[in-house]
Amino acid sequence: MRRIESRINPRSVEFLRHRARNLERVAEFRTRQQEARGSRPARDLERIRRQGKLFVRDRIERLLDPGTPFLELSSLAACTEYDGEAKSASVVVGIGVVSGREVLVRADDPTIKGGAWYPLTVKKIVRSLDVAIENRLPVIHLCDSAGGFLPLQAELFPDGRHAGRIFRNQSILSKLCVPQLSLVFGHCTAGGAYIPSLSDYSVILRGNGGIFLGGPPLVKAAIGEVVDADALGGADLHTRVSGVADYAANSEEEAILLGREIVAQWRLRETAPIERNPPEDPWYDPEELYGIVPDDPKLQFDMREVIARIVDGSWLHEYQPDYGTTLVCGFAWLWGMKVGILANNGVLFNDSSLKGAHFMELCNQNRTPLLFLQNITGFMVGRDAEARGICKDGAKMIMVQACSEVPKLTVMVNGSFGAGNYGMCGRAFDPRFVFSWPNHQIGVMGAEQAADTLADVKLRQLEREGRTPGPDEIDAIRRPILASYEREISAWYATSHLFDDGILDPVDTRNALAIALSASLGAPMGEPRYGVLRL
Amino acid sequence: MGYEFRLDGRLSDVVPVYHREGFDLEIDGRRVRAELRMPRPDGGDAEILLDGRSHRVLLARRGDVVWVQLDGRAFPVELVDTLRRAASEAARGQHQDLLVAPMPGLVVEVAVAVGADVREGDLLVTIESMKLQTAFRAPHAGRVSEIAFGVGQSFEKGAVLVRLERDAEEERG
Repeated sequence: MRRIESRINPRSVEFLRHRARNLERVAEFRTRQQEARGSRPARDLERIRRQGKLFVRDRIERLLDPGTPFLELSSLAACTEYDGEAKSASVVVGIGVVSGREVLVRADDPTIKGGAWYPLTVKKIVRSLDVAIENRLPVIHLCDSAGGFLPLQAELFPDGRHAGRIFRNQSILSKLCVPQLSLVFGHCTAGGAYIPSLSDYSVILRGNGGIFLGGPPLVKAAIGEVVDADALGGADLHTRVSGVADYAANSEEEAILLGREIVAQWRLRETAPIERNPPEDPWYDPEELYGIVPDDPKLQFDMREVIARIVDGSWLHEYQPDYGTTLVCGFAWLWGMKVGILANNGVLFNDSSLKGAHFMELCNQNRTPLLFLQNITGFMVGRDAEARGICKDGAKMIMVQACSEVPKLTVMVNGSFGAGNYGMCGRAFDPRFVFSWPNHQIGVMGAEQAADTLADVKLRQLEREGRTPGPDEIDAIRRPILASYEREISAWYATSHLFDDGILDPVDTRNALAIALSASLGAPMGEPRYGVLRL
Repeated sequence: MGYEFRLDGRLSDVVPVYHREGFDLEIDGRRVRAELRMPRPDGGDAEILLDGRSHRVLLARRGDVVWVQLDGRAFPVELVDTLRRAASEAARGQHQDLLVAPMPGLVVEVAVAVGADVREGDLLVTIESMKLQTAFRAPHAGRVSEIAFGVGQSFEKGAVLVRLERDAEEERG
């Protein structure tokens, strides 16, 4: 491997301008994240204090091994919806280390509407269990939820990937021999009762903990029985009589420590063998990433400069350096783990698509996980490209990528537009994790193009009616389209709707990817096999 | 051929010769029995044994260079990246004097005039294609002898955008 030779000038006007803009974005990200993590109405914090409950983040901190990292996923989920009320979509999800084992933690947040599940809460829980299945990660559920948020039930109950999927995923996880533990800190009512019931192990708290299909009010309404919550589904009933839960605890502290002891009994998971090397810091300062990504998505930059600030020692063995140069392919180490990188350096042409497909085949053959760094406006258009068969070359890239057996990770660095998103392993292609930078934009096309296209359609319609709109009128048509499109292609909107697994401060990318990659090695890799390639 | 080290500015060829007890080093053809005893993996106090003679040294790593302090003097030792050197030697003499359009597009900025002297990395023209602006920079120092398209003009794939004459002086160097 050779060290990437950086060509940036950290004192240039452009670099400083880009840096200033990106630092603003990162500051906005940090502000939003702090708010999602900690800011709650005083009355809600007072309520959980009165109930003797720990704040969800404190529960997680006590659960994790001291001094180990926690990679939180989708901390800004739901940030653009429900008037911003459902912080982190009312559920905290992340990957951490408990009793020496990599696990996925999923924790309800009772300070938001009693931990009720909004539609995006359900989406986030289902996604977290998809992560657990795809990567064979054990799960620890910290249960404290009032159940589905009834006013929006139609958006969280009936469909295939709605609430039922949580319990389906729990069952599949168990079938795959991936253990789950539930710590029941509050009520698990109705569907929620199945979370501890479908877990291999469960601890229930005396007093606050309760598991029942119907809570006391529903029981009274349905069969006229008057019963209090503890007698109906408390810790003693379930650990002494019904067998629904396994252990009773007298305090949250005890429940968490008992949980850690249970996890310590689990078999260490086997990991797929990949090439490893002693880790090394990047040669170039990751802080320089802020000045590399331009403040205007139209401006091109060299993705090697980004790679140089993410990988060990800034070493890269570049594959086919002179062919299909708009796609940089190569081998590198990430915290000592070998990866094959595909990174956009412009539009995907026929040759760049073929190069990408070939490189991914090599990685599948030698069991090297793939890392995609997206900054893509699409595949090349026009007569020349079509006559060369850009559709079938793009199809080869998509086919090999979709059928890849090695773990795939995707970072949305700057832009992801049109079919380029597909070739470069967008969300639909099941990368094990997708992370975005705060500046990122994602959509069928850019905001300007969309506004022009839609305004054009409207103008022709007006012309057919015999009207010729003036410049003010054209602007009046264009402006609202532009505004709504810009909102919807932003990283905030994407992360809010779980189009990714979270936004990253660019300087954290290396560490986040290493945790994600390590987590991804729990699943076995199949033999390389693809569909029919249109040659 | 062995590993190439730059020792205090001088190049040395080093071949490890393996045998039952470890290995000897053949440094520029001279064979030495060598052993390094280093208590800490990242440097610090160490002992080097050369043909049985012990030398106390202090090792410090800075970037790709290991500094070896011996008898009050510090010697920089660097492993030469021979592939990089071979690649850059092969590249010398190849000039890229024509900047060719990789795809059809439009010129949005011309940063230099015909006849201007430019340094490596100076901005020449910026094009826009497929919603992306790409800056073309001088691959080497030279004089701009042709700018084929002005701002707002469009071009086809493969069109020559800029022609650059190489500096006679740089050619000699």
